[in-house]
Amino acid sequence: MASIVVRNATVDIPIFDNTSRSLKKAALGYSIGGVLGRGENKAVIVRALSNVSLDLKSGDRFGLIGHNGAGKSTLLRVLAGIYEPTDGTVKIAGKVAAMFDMGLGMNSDATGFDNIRMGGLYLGMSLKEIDAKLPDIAAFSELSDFLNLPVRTYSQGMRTRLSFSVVTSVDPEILIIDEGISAGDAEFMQKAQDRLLALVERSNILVLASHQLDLITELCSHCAILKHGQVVKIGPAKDVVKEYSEWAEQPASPVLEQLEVVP
Amino acid sequence: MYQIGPAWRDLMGSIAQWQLWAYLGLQDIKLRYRRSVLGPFWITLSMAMTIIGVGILYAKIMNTNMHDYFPFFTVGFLVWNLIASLITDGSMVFINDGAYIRQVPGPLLTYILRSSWRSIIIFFHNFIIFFGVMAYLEIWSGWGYLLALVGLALVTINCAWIALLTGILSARYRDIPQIVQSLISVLFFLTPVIWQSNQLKGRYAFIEYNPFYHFLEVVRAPLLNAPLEPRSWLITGGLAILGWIFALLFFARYRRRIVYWV
Repeated sequence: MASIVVRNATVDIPIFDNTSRSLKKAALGYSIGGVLGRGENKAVIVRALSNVSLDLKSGDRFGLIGHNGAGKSTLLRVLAGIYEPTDGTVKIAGKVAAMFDMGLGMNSDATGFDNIRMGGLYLGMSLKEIDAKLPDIAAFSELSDFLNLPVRTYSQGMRTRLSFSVVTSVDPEILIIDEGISAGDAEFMQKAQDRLLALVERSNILVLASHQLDLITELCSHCAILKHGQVVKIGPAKDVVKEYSEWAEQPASPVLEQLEVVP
Repeated sequence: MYQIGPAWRDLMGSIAQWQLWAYLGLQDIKLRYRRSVLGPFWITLSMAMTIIGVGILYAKIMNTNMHDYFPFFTVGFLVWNLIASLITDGSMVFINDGAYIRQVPGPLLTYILRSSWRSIIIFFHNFIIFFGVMAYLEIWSGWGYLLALVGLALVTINCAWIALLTGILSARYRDIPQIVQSLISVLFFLTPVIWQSNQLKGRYAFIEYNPFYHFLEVVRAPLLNAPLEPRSWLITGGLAILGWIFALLFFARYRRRIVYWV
C-alpha cells in the first residue's frame, strides 16, 4: 500500500550568492562576530512552500495547478522525497518514480540502447528489469536500427520518442510528473496517450503538476491550487479547475497582485 | 540535529543500488574516451612516460639503485594518483551531480560510490605499468599481491570518507575544492612518493603522523616484498573505521541540506 502523508511542510530554499557561499566570508564573519558580519552573511531565503498538509493513499490521482513559481515543483520534490522540508514532516511509503525532466541522464554520445539502460537505472529499475523491457521499449519507440547509433545522430523528435518510451516503461507505486510528458509528433501522440494512460493506471498514486487544465481533469480525481507556496484550494478536480479558470479570467492587476497590494 | 537512522539507510541503500553506480561509472569512462583508439589507456601511456622519465632522473639525482628505486616510485606514484583522484573527484561530486540530486529520488551516497568506482577503474588500467616494470626487472611479489589488494581496499575506504566529508563541505562552500586541490599537491611532495623515508635522518612528524604515508605503505610494502610495518596497518585500519564514523555523523547532520546547496 503506497501512501504519502505531509504535515505542515514548509520549505525554505537558501539562495547563496558568491559572498555568502565563500568560506572566507564565513570564517571572517565568525571571527568578527557581531551584527554586521552576520547581517552580511545571512543567506537570502525563499519560502517556496508554506505550511502544506496533504494525505495521499493508494488509488489517488492528484493534480497540482498554480502560476509559475507557485511552488508546484517544490511540492512535487517534497512528495518524491527529494526535498526534506525545513519544517514539518513527510512520510512516504512506496517506490517513487519522479519525472521532472524527461531527457535527464540522456547522453548524446551513447547509443540509443545504452541510453535506455541509463535512463531505466535512473528511474530505479534494475538491469534485469530493463533487459526484460528492452524489446517493448525498442518496439514502442519505432527507432529500430537507430538504437545502435549514438543519440547525437537523432532528430529532436526521435529523442523525445526514445525518452518517452523509457519513462513510460516504469512500474512505480508512486508516480510524480512535472508539466506533463511530451510525446513528439502528432502521429506518435495518439499511441503515446494510450501508453501514458496505462502507466497512470498501473501506478498506485499519481501526482501531476501541469498548466494544461484539461490534462488535469482527464487524469486526476482531486486537485489543489497552489499560490505563493500555500494550498489555497483543494477538492474534486473538476470543481477546482473550474474555479481556477474563473480566477485566471478575472482582470485583476497582476502587478498589484504580485506586490500583494490587493487584499 | 543528527539523523543517524536515515544516514545509515542512505549508506545501505546506496550499496544496494550497486547496479546503478557500477554501470553508470563504467559508462562515464567509456563515453569520455569514445572513438579514441587507446581509450582510457591514454592516461596509462602518459603516466608510464612520467614514471620512466621521473624514475630515471630521480634515481640519478638521489644516486640510488635503479633496481630498488623504480618499483618503489612506480607503486607510490600509481597509488598516489588513485588517492588524489578519489579525493579531488569526490569533493566535486555533489556539485557536479546537482542536476540529478535535484531530480532523482534516492540515496545520496550513490554519487560518492560512483565517483570512487570511476577512480578505481582508472587505477587498474594504470596498474599495468607496475606489472611491466616488475616483468622488466624480473621481480615477483607472490603473496604480496593479495595483501596489497587488502591494503588497496582499506585505502579506498579511507579516501571515500574523506571524499564524503569534503564533498559535503564543497557543496556548501565553493572554495573547498580549490583548497583540497592545493593540499593534495602539497602532500604529494611531503609524502614519500618520489623520495624514500629512510633518506631523511631522524623521525619527522610529517611522515610519522601523515596518514597518506601509511596509506601508501599498506599497498607498497607488500608489493615490494618490503618488511611490513604493523603501525601502518593499524593506522590505516583504524582511520577507516573512525573516519567513517565521523563522516557518517557529519552526513547525518547535513544530509537533508545537501539538495538545497547543490
